[in-house]
Amino acid sequence: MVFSSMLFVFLFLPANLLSQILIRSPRGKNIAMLAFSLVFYSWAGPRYLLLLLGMVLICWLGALGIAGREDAGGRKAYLAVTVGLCLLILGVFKYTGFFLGNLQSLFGVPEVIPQIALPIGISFYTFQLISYVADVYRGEVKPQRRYWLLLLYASLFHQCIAGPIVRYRDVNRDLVRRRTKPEEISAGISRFAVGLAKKAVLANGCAVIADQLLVFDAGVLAATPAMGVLLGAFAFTLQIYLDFSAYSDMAIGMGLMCGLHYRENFDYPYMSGSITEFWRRWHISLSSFFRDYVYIPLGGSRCGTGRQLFNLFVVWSLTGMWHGASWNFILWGIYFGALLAIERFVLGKDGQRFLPQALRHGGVLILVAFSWIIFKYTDMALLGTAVKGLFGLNHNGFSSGSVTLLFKNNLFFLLVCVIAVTPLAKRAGERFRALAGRSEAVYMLYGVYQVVHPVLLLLLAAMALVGDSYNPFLYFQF
Amino acid sequence: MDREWQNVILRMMKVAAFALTLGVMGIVGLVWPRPEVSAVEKRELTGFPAFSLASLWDGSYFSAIDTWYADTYPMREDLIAAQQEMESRYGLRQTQMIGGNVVADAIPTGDQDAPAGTGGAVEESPPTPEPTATPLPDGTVHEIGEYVGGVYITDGSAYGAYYFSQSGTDAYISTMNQIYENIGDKVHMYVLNAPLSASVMLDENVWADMGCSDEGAAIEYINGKLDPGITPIPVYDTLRAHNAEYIYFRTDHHWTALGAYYAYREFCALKGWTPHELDQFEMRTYAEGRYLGTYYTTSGQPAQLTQNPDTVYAYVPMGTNHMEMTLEDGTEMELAIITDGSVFGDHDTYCLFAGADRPFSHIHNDAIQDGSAIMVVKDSYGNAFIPWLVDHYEDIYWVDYRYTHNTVSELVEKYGVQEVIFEAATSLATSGQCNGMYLDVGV
Repeated sequence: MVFSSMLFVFLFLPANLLSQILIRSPRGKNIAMLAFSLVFYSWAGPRYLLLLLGMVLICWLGALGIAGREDAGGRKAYLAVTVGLCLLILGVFKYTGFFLGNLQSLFGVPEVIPQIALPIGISFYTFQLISYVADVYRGEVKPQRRYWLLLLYASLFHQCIAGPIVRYRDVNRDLVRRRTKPEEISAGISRFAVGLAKKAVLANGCAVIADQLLVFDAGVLAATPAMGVLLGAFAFTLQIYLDFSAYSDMAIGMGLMCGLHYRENFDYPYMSGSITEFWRRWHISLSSFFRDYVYIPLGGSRCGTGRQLFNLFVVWSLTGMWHGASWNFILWGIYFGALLAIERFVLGKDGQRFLPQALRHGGVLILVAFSWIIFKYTDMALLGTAVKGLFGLNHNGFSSGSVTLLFKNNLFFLLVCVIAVTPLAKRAGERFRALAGRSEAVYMLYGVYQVVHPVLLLLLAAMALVGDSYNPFLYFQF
Repeated sequence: MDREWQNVILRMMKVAAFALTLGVMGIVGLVWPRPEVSAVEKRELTGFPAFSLASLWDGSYFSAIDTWYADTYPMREDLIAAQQEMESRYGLRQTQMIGGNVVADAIPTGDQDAPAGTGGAVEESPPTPEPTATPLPDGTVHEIGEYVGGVYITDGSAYGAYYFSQSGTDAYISTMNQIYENIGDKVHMYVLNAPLSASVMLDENVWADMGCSDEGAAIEYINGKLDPGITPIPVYDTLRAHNAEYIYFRTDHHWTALGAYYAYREFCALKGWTPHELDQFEMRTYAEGRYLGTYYTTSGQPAQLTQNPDTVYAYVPMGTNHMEMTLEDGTEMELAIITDGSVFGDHDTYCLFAGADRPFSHIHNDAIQDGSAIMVVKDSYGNAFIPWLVDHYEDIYWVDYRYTHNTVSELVEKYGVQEVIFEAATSLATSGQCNGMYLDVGV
């Protein structure tokens, strides 16, 4: 099931919220939430549920094993076996085809590559479970004695299949206490409605433009002029942020409505003045996972330049691989690793300050938009064609009337999307609230806005979703 | 009341409004009658899936429930219309293009080799229509708006764009030539290639900007490669000459009865007949200012088409308005050639012509007693064309090549027709999708 479906919004979610209102005890709420989460997860086929149950069992036992040992060696062994098993399972399901495909192209064997379907959300919940086991090993959290509560942490439908990658320590206290505050419910409603409309109206609208220009037909892509590829990359850049951050908005909003607090996953990344800053603002739960569980354990920045470069290479190759079992994702990760290395070791802080703010900001946007082209095409030949097209090397001119027409047809829409990726609306909202505090008339207006905007956004989303039966989130494939 | 209390009330109202919206939409989705068909989209909406353990296990059962729920949500067409209304404000949309991207092949010039297959490499030029004595008003749309693929919309009218496919066209030519080999000694064979509205109505610069092909040149290429025994009915230039008139629908991919009439006049010119004039026929009007056809649907019901619907005008044949037809399941029925268009609703009104697309149909005209019989092998463009032939033949038989169960050879033999017209919308017949649909040739 996806959040941006009529069935979810108008049947599953109301039923879930109703259960959380009617059931008073935290334990009862959690049991109901687990039942809803398992149904939600089973929607893609119950067979994957068995895998989720199994991985949670491994990590539950592994964490209990770690906590039960006093000796460092035994604790480490439990950690290694548990994390190793998790990574093995993730590897089998996610990377077997990729690995064997590369072997086949190099050595001609194996003849047949098994087609293994990627269980939905496996990359997200595997990382959540690894973070739990690692935190138990580090003594930062106590192991969960109840299997079903750990299962609830891993399967919680708010974030199980597309993030954010929630840390156990963040969510465990809420699961036990479950306190909902009226102001948080109100904020959750707004956050969810904004996220839903952002996905259904803005992200899906950008997808229509991006899909028209960044096509998967080699002939058509080669015939697309440079401005077409550029407009496609622009639309895809908007789409991928609006799409993914919308999912996080909805997760955070639903969490707030139920007394669960998830950390922010995005902080207006396209406002960044450097690539380092971009990755502090983009998919924060993933980059902080790699920082805390890979980069820092490897030595982080507190080592020699060579070692730091190695650490960066490892972390960013893994980041790329996490996004998909394909060379373009690894290339995408290394691309960012290289940019970060250049920022740190070549430009340095002084070098970056030397550049004007607008230039830095523009440069980051161009570099990030280019990265999304690498991200888009898993087929390296198509990627090559798109990159050539971007620089006008496909010999089909700079632009065409068709590109101009598409741009004109969506001019206001793209403008709204550009505003939506900036904090302008958020700041306007804050200003509105501040003014409402000072004037009764403005307060009345603010009140009307508060009551009406979630309803309007819900209806706008319903309009967009009814005629749009296929709109999976981009990050589902990971 | 202090601000703290005001905030509490405000939050309560906000939660209530949100809960009410979710609740009402949820209850509507559960208890309200769900639509089963979409008149606008001309399709049955997704049904509730049948349960099976296999579909449950692989997730397809739940996925189908998702689709069913959204696809049959009550008031879906109103919601979609509202969405289209909103999308019409996304930008400057006086001109737009909706649809997939296509890269057309280059149309070969006349001195290139004939396609593989039977039939001749013929270098004869097709018959050139007589120039019109008085210059006709120019209705060409010069608005430059460019795109690759799909339906081009400008100023409230939609135009289907044509892209030349070398392989598809060659397959079509080969098919026609093979059929001619089979029946050419028994009948006079005509080929009528109907162009799309963009080719007839739009400025050539518009095609170029859209990356489209010159359909007139494509038809010329086809005619040049047909066996010399086949007579092409040259309609392209005459349609273009009359493009200031209402010869194509604005919201549908078909020509109007008037467009088909100009094709009929070209046929009469080939036959040496004096065509009947329009004012000799009874004209009927259907879906006046309400017809929203296939382009409206395929382009996602854009608001600018909603604001510019068509009217379907039909001309009743003089000799008879009675026909019989055989449905795909073998059921035989009788009906009017120009039937009551109001029964089809405002999205299917074109179906009023000649029983729409059926495997086999027949008209016997008692007003003519000369034993003349013609067969038309057609697609949906033929529906508006056939009524014009009624007053020239004692018997007219026609099959839709996409649905018929018989070969033309069999039918020619069986009914003793003297002439066969192969009518086809060029874009469809040469797309490569129709290879094998002509049963005389097979796959």
